[in-house]
Amino acid sequence: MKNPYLPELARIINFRDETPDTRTFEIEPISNDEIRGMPGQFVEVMVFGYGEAPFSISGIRNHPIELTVRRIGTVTNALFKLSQGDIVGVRGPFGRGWPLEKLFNKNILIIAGGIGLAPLRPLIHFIINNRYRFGNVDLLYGARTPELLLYKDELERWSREINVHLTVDKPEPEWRGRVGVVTILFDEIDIDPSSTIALQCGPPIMMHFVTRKLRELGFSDNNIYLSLERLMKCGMGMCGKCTVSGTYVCLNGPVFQCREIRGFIERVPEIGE
Amino acid sequence: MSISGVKLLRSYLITKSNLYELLERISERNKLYAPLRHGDQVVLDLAKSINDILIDYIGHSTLPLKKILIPPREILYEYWIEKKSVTINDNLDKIASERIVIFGIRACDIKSIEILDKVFLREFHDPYYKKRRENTVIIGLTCVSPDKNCFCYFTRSGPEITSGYDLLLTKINEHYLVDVGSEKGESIIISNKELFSDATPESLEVKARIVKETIIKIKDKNDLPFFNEVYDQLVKRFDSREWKEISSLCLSCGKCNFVCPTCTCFDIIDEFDPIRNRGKRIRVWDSCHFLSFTRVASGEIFRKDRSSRIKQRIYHKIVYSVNDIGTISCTGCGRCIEVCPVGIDIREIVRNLAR
Amino acid sequence: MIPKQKPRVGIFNLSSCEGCIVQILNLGEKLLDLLKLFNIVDCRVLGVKEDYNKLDIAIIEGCVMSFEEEVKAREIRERSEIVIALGDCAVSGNINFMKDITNKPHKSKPLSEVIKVDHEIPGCPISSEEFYRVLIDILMGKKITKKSITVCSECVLRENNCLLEKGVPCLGPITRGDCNAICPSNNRPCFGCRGLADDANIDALIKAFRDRNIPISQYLIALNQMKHKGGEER
Ligand SMILES: Cc1cc2nc3c(=O)[nH]c(=O)nc-3n(C[C@H](O)[C@H](O)[C@H](O)COP(=O)(O)OP(=O)(O)OC[C@H]3O[C@@H](n4cnc5c(N)ncnc54)[C@H](O)[C@@H]3O)c2cc1C
Ligand code: SF4
Ligand code: SF4
Ligand code: SF4
Ligand code: SF4
Ligand code: SF4
Ligand code: FES
Repeated sequence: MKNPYLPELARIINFRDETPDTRTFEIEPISNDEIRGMPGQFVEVMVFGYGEAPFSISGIRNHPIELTVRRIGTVTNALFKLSQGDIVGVRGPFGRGWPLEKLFNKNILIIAGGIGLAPLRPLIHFIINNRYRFGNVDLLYGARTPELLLYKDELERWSREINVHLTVDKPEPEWRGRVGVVTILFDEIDIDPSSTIALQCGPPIMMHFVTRKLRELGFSDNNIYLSLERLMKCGMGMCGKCTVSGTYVCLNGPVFQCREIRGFIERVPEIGE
Repeated sequence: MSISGVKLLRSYLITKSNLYELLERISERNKLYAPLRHGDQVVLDLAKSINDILIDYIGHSTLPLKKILIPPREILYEYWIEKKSVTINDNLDKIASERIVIFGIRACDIKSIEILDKVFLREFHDPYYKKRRENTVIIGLTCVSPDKNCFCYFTRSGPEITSGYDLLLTKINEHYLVDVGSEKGESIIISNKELFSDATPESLEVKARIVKETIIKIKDKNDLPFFNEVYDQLVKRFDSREWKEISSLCLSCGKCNFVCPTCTCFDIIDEFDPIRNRGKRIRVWDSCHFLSFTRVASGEIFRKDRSSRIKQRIYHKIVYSVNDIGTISCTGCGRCIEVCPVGIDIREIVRNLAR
Repeated sequence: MIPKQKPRVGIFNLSSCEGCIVQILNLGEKLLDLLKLFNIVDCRVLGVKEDYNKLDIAIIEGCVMSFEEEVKAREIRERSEIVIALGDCAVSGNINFMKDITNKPHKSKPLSEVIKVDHEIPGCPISSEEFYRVLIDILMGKKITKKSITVCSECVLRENNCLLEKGVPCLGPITRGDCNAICPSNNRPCFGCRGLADDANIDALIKAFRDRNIPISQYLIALNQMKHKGGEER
């Protein structure tokens, strides 16, 4: 069996800037093996010389996988210095992604904040490609400023297939949309909590208020899913860093059903407690 | 690591001088780790001379046997960058040829291997651990001299132990009774036949009596519930006010994690030499008492409160482990109690919360 | 991976014993590596003094004891991109600070009271390994973080006999490690030279001292008061 700590060498095929501090990379193993990721899963990327960090798969189109990375520390800074053709290491995919099989024939409510849209993007692609298998689909997405909205050109395209609602904390002069935290967008949608699945990813504080709001609206914990972010080192249930209430976010998550988390002994801020 | 059939559960006798002879032979072909004296401490370390090995010591080594199977600092792999390519050198290859014998550990540490196995060999296998584990022979020792902090009886991990070792020695008057626990153990006996004689029925009786006496010694010092029976009570007391008091005492120093035979948490760090373009990825032990344990790049710390961190340790041992690997992960060795500068005592905590 | 132009470095000292600069010299082979990566243009101890205007990195040892030193520190700050406080005297005032901890106002000041400091390398003396690491990290553009490990936990990793248990006032339990517990390993109590650990619980250590009849030093009390006043680092 292969040593799961060793990264597979991969090449940066391409990249494009999404915002001043966020970039989407296309990465492909040099062995030409496919990285078979599911929406919501993540990989560990090794930037040689600097270290490893987990990133959600933000696009599973053909061969290369896409990762959307916000520049924030050692590894991400180093990743931004690399150019086309440079080598990184990849381990994974790891974790449990969005519950695709539970979404068919349901109405879907997706709530994302900032970089939290990245792990939801492959799911949105999947929904759009299989549009007839889903009911109403709403995306509520918030960012700090209009400039920091991810996938701007795609948002436009998505809005032909699903309902896209946007908001920003701090508007710029030409911004015509809503201003405020993502929960204000709930007044734009009319949903039936019993036939809708809510899926969310964003900063802990956002998910905290969104989960509260969803429960206020009558969502049961069974129909709310969240992707948690915790410190991760191994991705394999060994290093112990990512646990919440003894459950490994890397193995059993990062996507959890709210009900599972509600059963935890340790408090999880993201579910509104 | 299969134990095949009843025939393995045989027992032999060996004299003390033959035991030393056996250890001498073992040390010629293996890395022999054994309890040694280091100032006031007992440490499990490479035995340079057979005569340094402690057999009848009290308590246990300061660091447990995990220090051999998952060293405190271990290079996972090295790499170097040349132009546009990277070469990776797995350090596993270096471990492959090591042969390790660990002598003289007691029930609480033997039991810990079972727990380490459940963490490191499940969905994913940790190849470094696995390799060392396969290369390791365990020669255990039945404990007759529990320390003041020992309570393995109440975690159901000792003082009697019936699996997890290759050989188990029990001192019977001038002899040692040798219980065989695996094929590896049996093969040691076979290749050193002349040093052993068959066990007598009396010696088996004596062993049973010794175990009973040790249990009494432990029970005399401790009035505790069985730790595998307090799950529900602990869950109920997660928000108990007592945690505030306990955490006001705790220094967050992390010693208790490092000495615990079943604390497996680690960090992985990078070292890089920009002149030679060579790097290393290194695994180092970590402690859930440290703030950095849950600190992410945004600055968020998920266990900021000292009480949330000490609860992490206690609940992991007694509650989370049961959910995760089906057993509590405290083996009752008492090391965390022994080293805590402020006397935080897992026995007291559990006794109070289980009331 | 590394900049084409070698960063220009100046090494200066204010009021100190120069012990930390000696630690740099102790780096041996690694010092030669650093010399390949950095261009030292000013260092009295090394006898280097080139003409220069701007510095990429200024490394300052020692605390500020006089007006002249304060002027010197400001002047270095002005011409430097990055300032590193080297050793406890520069980081916290150390011995000089402790001496007049009860005098108010203090005469000696840590560097950060006078100028903006970008990175701190604590220790009395510093660990030469850490110095090397910080310089390489700056060069490579890594985020510089202090390890959370405590001296006490490093001490138990070395399976030392605990001094505290013998009634010696060791500050290991509240001190940030990464020095490999060098003092207790040599039978000397830790005096806390690397600064407080994250979330250090000084009250609990004071209680631990009392329980063992270890006298509580003025220093520990002052440290505790400072911490309770809200200052994270000393
Ligand atoms: C499951 C998962 C999916 C993620 N997906 C994305 C994504 O799609 N896009 C994105 O921009 N970010 C994502 N993150 C966050 C991203 O991993 C961190 O921003 C990144 O690790 C920061 O690394 P750094 O070296 O730049 O920062 P530093 O602060 O310098 O971190 C040093 C090291 O600490 C660890 N670390 C620090 N922060 C985190 C963190 N938040 N989570 C896990 N490990 C951390 C890493 O090992 C990192 O190498 C994800 C995190 C998780 C857990
Ligand atoms: S928790 Fe304490 S007593 Fe239990 S196994 Fe760990 S060190 Fe030993
Ligand atoms: S989480 Fe804490 S108690 Fe549990 S194994 Fe890791 S260090 Fe030990
Ligand atoms: S050894 Fe004691 S003081 Fe130190 S972290 Fe553990 S419980 Fe707290
Ligand atoms: S000697 Fe000091 S640092 Fe070492 S274990 Fe004892 S208190 Fe901790
Ligand atoms: S043991 Fe304490 S005093 Fe000694 S070098 Fe380390 S932090 Fe400084
Ligand atoms: S990342 Fe190591 S256990 Fe989850």
